[in-house]
Amino acid sequence: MERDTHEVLRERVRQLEARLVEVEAEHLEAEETLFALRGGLVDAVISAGPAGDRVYTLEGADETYRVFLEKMAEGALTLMRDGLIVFSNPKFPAMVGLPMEQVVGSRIQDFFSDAEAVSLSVLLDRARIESQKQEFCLATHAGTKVPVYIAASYFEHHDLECLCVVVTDLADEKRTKQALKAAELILESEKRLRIANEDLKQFTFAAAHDLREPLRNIRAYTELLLKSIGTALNGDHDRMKTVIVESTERMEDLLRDLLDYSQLNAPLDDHDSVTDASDAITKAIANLQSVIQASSAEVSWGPLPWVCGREQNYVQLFQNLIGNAIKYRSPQPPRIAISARRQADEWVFSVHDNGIGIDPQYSVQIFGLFKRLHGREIPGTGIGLAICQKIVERNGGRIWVESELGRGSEFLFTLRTAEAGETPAIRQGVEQTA
Amino acid sequence: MKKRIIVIDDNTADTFLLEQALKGGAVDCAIVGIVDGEQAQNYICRSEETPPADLIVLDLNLPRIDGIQLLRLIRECPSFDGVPVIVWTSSTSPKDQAALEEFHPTRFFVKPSSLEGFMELGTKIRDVMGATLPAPR
Repeated sequence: MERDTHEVLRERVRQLEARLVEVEAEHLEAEETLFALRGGLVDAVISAGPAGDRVYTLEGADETYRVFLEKMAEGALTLMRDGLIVFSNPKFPAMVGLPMEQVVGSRIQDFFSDAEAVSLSVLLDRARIESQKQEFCLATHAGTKVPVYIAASYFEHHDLECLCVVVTDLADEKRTKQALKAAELILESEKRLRIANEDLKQFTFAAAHDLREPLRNIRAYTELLLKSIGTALNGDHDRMKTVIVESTERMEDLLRDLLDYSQLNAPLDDHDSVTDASDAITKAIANLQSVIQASSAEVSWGPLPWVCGREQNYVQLFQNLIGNAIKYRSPQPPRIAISARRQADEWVFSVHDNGIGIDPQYSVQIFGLFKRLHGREIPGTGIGLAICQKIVERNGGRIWVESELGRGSEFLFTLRTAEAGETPAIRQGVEQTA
Repeated sequence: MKKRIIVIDDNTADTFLLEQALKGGAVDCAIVGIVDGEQAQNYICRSEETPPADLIVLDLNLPRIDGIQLLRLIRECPSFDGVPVIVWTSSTSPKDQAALEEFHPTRFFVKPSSLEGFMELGTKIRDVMGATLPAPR
């Protein structure tokens, strides 16, 4: 889906680029023709038509010339030296938004701001010596500003000094250029993002791989060393060996969890995925089977909705929350109840246990990376809840805990509802597992 | 007769552990350790004996020329026909997986992290050689 959007965007950029080239070419051609005819560089224009080639000359084709002026996409004006408009084609009044009779007889400077009017007068003066071109900002009757390109040349008509002015609307071209620039910026930042993500992926893989290698060797060589020392070992040596082996195992766990966590930074490519929360719980429970059995835990859940996002992530979310409920259990066998209620346009999930509970002052801290409230007596990497938070947040939700010491914990999180049409009916009924 | 085993791996600590494991598994072997992909390439291309070794153990992440390229080279070299190639690595990227499927090594192992794991690996490698080498005359 993401790729399609980019493809559409790229196609649009191609169209805009093509249109820009066309517009510029039309502009240039019209201008060149006008200047060539007007300046006497060309005496005749030969045009291919359905009835064969036809020859147009300035003297012999007044009618053609007039039609050309009437139809052209630029405003064409004849001015007196001071800027008084004595002739206008219909385009210029349309550009300023006034009727023809209010345009002819005005000064061209009247259609520009005071500051621009001054530079326009300078331009008209200079045009008497050499043809001039410059960008201005036309103030329309409606009060809007239109960027225009003004080309002015001098000519004498029946001994009268006149100026011939062509006013080209640049707004279209500017809009095209701006759209093009915006599209280019989007493509550029998208490219940078893709490179950054690729770097991150390679980095995490390399880190996980390269950091594991020395760990493996530390452990195996410790064991080899102790084996080769053999009978000279005493109980202290065994304890030292245990510390080294357990430390390397713990480091391996940390690396694995950290890799899981960092992979959640990858961009979402699962906009279309929806997950049946009940299925995710069933899979999480299957993964936790041995600890559930060892602790005589019971997990129950009511009807649960489908939610947006990938199943694999929700399996991990429920697995971490259920696993924590069992790990931080009270002397009673763990009882874990999972439910969901609709609230506005989202679902609020609850994972409620009868465990040891959490002092409310730590209720924010526990979601931080490597944050733990217990010592080594309860094993853990301090990454599990950070992973939960990341999964919920990347699917547009929030996660928090409501708990008191000795009174169990309730982990709550919100998730957007899967949109109508992609949501199969909410599964009814209650399943239980022991 | 000693089995000639070429271990191509930049981590000599792993090569040493493998040697311990094989000797612990009563495999009479002489190990040639090569730590660099380019050196390994030269060794493979210039080898005059046929077969050049009884077994090759290959890591994938190597300096200069990686294990996948070496595996391809070995597969294309006639003098290595029938020589078992074991690939061992500490983890594989999806790209490596695809390449492994194309140039299928005789066996593929993830490097163990415990001494016990190495000992088990030694036994498995001994079985590979037993299964693929012709019986001594």
